[in-house]
Amino acid sequence: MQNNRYIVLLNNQQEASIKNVEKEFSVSVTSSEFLSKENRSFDIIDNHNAILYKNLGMMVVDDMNEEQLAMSLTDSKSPIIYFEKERDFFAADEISLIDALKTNVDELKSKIVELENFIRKKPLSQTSLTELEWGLKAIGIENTQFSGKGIDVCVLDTGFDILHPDFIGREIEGKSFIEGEDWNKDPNGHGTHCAGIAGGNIRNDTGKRYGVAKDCNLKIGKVLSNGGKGTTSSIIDAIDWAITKKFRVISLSLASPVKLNEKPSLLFETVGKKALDNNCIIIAAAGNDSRRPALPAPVSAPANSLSIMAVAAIDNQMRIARFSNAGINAATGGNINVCAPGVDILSAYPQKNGTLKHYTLLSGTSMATPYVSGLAALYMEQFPDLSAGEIWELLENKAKPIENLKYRDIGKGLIQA
Amino acid sequence: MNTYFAVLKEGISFVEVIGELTDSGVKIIKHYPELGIVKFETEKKISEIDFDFFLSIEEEKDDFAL
Repeated sequence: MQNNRYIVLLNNQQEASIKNVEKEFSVSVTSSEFLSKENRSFDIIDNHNAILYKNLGMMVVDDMNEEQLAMSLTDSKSPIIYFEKERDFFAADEISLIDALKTNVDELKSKIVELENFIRKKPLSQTSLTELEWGLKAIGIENTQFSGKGIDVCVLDTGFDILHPDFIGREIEGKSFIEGEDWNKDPNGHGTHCAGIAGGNIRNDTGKRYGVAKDCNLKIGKVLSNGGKGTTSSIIDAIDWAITKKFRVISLSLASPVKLNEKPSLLFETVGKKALDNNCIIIAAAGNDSRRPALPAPVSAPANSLSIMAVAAIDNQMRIARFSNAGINAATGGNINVCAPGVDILSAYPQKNGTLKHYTLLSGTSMATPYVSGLAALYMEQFPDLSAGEIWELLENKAKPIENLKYRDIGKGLIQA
Repeated sequence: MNTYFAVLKEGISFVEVIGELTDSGVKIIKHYPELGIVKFETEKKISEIDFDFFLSIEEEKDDFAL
């Protein structure tokens, strides 16, 4: 069987054109006029590569370069207007046809077996089979196999519902900095929601994943009252506790509004620096005081301190959240560093009013912040030799800008795993 | 009584400043050695306090929220 012969159609048979083909393809063309009983076409093709059928305006050519042939179709100077591989034709009688099919079936069968073996032995790809909440998809969580194992992530908030079914069996350490209120209860729910985003795993009802760093060591500091209010004292006391305990990440989903052109607090600037010196990164919410499309409010304290990472919020259409504060106090300090999902975010929530619900949707830069904290934990597990300052750089450098969104609103962009 | 947080200047130790702070009538509440911060209470207004060993003095805020 000849597999490398081609039928080539020509739009003219002028001597110059044929010579051009001979030169281009390094073939020797013989006209079919010279065919005879002693001079058969297959002999000519074997000896001279090509035979030209003048009456048909075509050639049969041996050993042609198929890529070169394809290119010649677009070359206006080439006489070649079409080509195809030589085909096999079977005798029309039924038995010969069956024999020919049998031969081809055997050949095909061996190819199928080869393909089947390849498919059966093909290794599985490492993509997760678990369904993900939109925020996790947005930060590309499926691109990492890390889970924050061994990294201490401290969430300073309204406390934590220690009885939440998703966290039964997890060893969680905590401390309250609010007089008369326990860290391991969370009537407010905000702290449980934030801790769930940073360190939760999958929903116990649907199996859908909502947490970033499922194997991190969750540390809870209650710095906001059940009513959701906190003071400088409670926050400084808790940060001091976290740094003394050598926690690696402090997540602050809280904010105090600042005025236009107000300078950042030197107190929190110092605290942020001391944390970095102690290999700990503080990540804080930019605040929710904006009412876009009006001019957004400036980044709140303590996120407006240069040594504390400020996080803005986006929605699932990759738009800036209407409430998300912005870096409009750039002259005095207070830029956004990165953004993360912060609208309609599902996470763990304490059961309230006798309902059976263990989850709820919340929106805010409060929700965006623990995404960054959880991701910082994944990076720390992946790159154990990097300092907190280098993890900061990695979070910023791996973040992706979002089309049509300003640096003022999202800083370096959406964090990426 | 107002509560303040003061950041100690680089190179200044808390022990060096305890005497002057006490003599000025402020009540030291807590020292944070890891942070280099001193928390104290006083009835005086912040403008009346002048300590050159502090980088900054800020009054406690109570408006941190969700």
